[in-house]
Amino acid sequence: MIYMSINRTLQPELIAPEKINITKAKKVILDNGFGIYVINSGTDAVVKFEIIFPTGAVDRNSYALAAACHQLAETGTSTKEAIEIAENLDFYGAYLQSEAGPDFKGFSLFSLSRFFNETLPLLNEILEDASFPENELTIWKMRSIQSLNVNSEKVSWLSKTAFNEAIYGSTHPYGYTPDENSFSSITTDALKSFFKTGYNKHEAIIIVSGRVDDNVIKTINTVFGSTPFSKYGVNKNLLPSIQEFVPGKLKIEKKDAVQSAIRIGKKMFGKDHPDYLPMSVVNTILGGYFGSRLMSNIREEKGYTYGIGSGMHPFRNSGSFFISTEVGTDVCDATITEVHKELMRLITEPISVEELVLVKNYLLGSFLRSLDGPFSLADRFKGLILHSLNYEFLENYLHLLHTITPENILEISEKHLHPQTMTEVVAG
Amino acid sequence: MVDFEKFELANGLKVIVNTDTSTPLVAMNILYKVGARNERPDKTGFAHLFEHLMFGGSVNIPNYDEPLQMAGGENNAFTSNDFTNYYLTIPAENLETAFWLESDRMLSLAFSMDSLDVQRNVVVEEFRQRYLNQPYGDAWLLLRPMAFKVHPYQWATIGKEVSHIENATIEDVKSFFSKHYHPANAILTLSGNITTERARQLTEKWFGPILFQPVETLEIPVEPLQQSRRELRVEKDVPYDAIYKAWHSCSRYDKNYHATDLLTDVLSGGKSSRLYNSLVKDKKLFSNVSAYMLGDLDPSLVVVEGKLVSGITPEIAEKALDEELKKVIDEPINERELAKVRQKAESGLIFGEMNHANRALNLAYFEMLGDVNLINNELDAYRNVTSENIRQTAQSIFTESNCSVLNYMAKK
Repeated sequence: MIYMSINRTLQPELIAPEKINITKAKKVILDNGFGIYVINSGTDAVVKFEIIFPTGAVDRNSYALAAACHQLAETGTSTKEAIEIAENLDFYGAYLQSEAGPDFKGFSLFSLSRFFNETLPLLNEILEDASFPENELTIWKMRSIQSLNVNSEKVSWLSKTAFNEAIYGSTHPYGYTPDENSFSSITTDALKSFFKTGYNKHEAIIIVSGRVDDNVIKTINTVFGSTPFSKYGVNKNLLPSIQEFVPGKLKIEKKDAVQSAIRIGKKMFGKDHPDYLPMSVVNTILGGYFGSRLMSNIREEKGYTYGIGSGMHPFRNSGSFFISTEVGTDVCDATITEVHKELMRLITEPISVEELVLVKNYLLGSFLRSLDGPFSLADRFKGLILHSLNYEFLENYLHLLHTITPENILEISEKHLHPQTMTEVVAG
Repeated sequence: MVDFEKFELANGLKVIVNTDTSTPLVAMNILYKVGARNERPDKTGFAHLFEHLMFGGSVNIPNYDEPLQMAGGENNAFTSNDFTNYYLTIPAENLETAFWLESDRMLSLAFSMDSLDVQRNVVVEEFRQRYLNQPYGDAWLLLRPMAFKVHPYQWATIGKEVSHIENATIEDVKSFFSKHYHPANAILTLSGNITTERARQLTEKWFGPILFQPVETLEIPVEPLQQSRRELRVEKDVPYDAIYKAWHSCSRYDKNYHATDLLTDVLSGGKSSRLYNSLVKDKKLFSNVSAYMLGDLDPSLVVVEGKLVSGITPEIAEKALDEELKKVIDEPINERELAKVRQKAESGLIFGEMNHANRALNLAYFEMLGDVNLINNELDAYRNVTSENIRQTAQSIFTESNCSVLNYMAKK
């Protein structure tokens, strides 16, 4: 065979991806009039059934309670013990995941399609009839307290919890971290009453993804569509108002730590803010991908850390921005100086066209990755609906990726990224 | 069931393609058959350090990441005791950039001194972040040398000690590259929107010109049969006592591999598993417990690890654990429990192969084992395990003379 001589110094020509098709969720109305969202996609015979309740831990007292409720719901019903429920799920190779936060909480059932008819009724039984046995609560408390105490030994955890508290205050569920007492004071009565008021099916958002064929829909109809759901609206937001954010500095001592965890950031905004999308591009430039400025400077040039990044954490009513890393204690101050330099660079120097094109292309690829496969599509949709957004948000994002300019980047950075507006937490 | 086609270049590079036109992306995976087990005892952690250096520029391309990101791609890599794996996903239109980048770094690296200086620091920070500055983070650094006296599995991929990384020289880097990074020691797999025809064309174009080099056969010392129980007790700044108990077991190639895997599932797969229900829930001795096998290429370990409830001594906890293990040896598991662990394994296979990057990795992994077709035998291999297989496997593994116990105690 004769090889054409190739020039290895030149990158093959790049082609922008063609029009991006987003497989959208379709609304399917069950027999009782209740609407669910369906993403029928993918090549594997699997189903993910996610049920989300749009109220979470609305105050400090309910924070640990929501977590407990959530993890203990599968540990018993009036007719089944924990091991029977677990054995049934395991037998069909299915698994349940749960999530409980301040804005919402939910359960996801992952099942092989061919066993969905057996696994979904189990989830329903839990939702209808969870009994919260005393013994299970006792074990849960012991385990949760142990894991809290293990986490408290990690500098990354110490800096993260202190940061959230500094931003949102210790009484707001966005900023609160449960302590030992909040776990140990939970009673089964409190669990039962929380479960009754916080998990009404008629308020739920149901998203089903994977191979959602007629049999799957039929099963859902039998389990969730046969009895009428009352028509309540989505619960009003019950969260307390958020305190005024004041930047500050915090140092948490941890004896003998060989690394310090640094977290620098501020209160920002949620997905509904007009600056959210352009800020997410700025965040990528700063610390949102491997080639970001923070990674290039602090890891790849200085070798101070194994990793550094920045991120945005959107809540329904607010959001935060943060830069986080773990570095050798000897280079902690030097790292903070470099972080400030990078923030000032964004504010004062326009980004080069080359760097902006690189970030746009990278984000376009990431966007495609975030839509790959049925479960990714479902997550993407969930990220919209829980923030009261629709697919237009994604189209706006794509449009922004094509049109955002160095001036826009400068303007957004100037508006939101001044180092003196940020809180700095160091643990170690 | 994964569909694929396979071909091999004249220089020995094996290529496997799984076509799925429902995605706009392609995952590319390159596995090099070199890991921590190929290291010398005085230069440990090197395969992993080298993995970092693969991103420090190649002979014709000064920077790996930038052109990939420019093409909308994303990548990462990991090092295990047996192999080193590089993977990326990229929009199908720009797949050629991935071929350009990966073939150039297989051809030769830039061997930049700066890159070595920086990555030595980065890896030292990784050592600190993941192993030294985490509660229980160094448990495996203690357990491995106890279980393995001769075989290189006695050190973790990060290395025995920080000084081995600090002392690495550019000559070490060059000789490691020329020994292990060449077409016949690599497997290239693709999964996603790519036809075999196009894959063949691109592979010939970019990888075809790289010269063949024979694979060196490795002399890896065989771990002698363990004769008696080994035990180590350490006191550290952690909130709770923990136990790690390890037994020598079979290799990934062994006919008992699947039975051993299901055995560990009987013990700790899911919330209906035996150890969780007995030791955590009924007896309240452990706050968590898990059992797993390492499944390495050479005979390796089955491990049970768990944290103890305050006030429980490691002796009491271990005795209760041993009673549970004795049950699996004495009584064959019933049909229902056998069906459960088989079906769990099946669902694990199906969920595990949904993602294209995972599929590409699995194809490469089975080809490394000797034959990519094995990927589609896994389901049957699990279905063929009998309860007597599991019982016998338990009997042969769980003996006192075969175990190493690490009691990781909270400093009082």
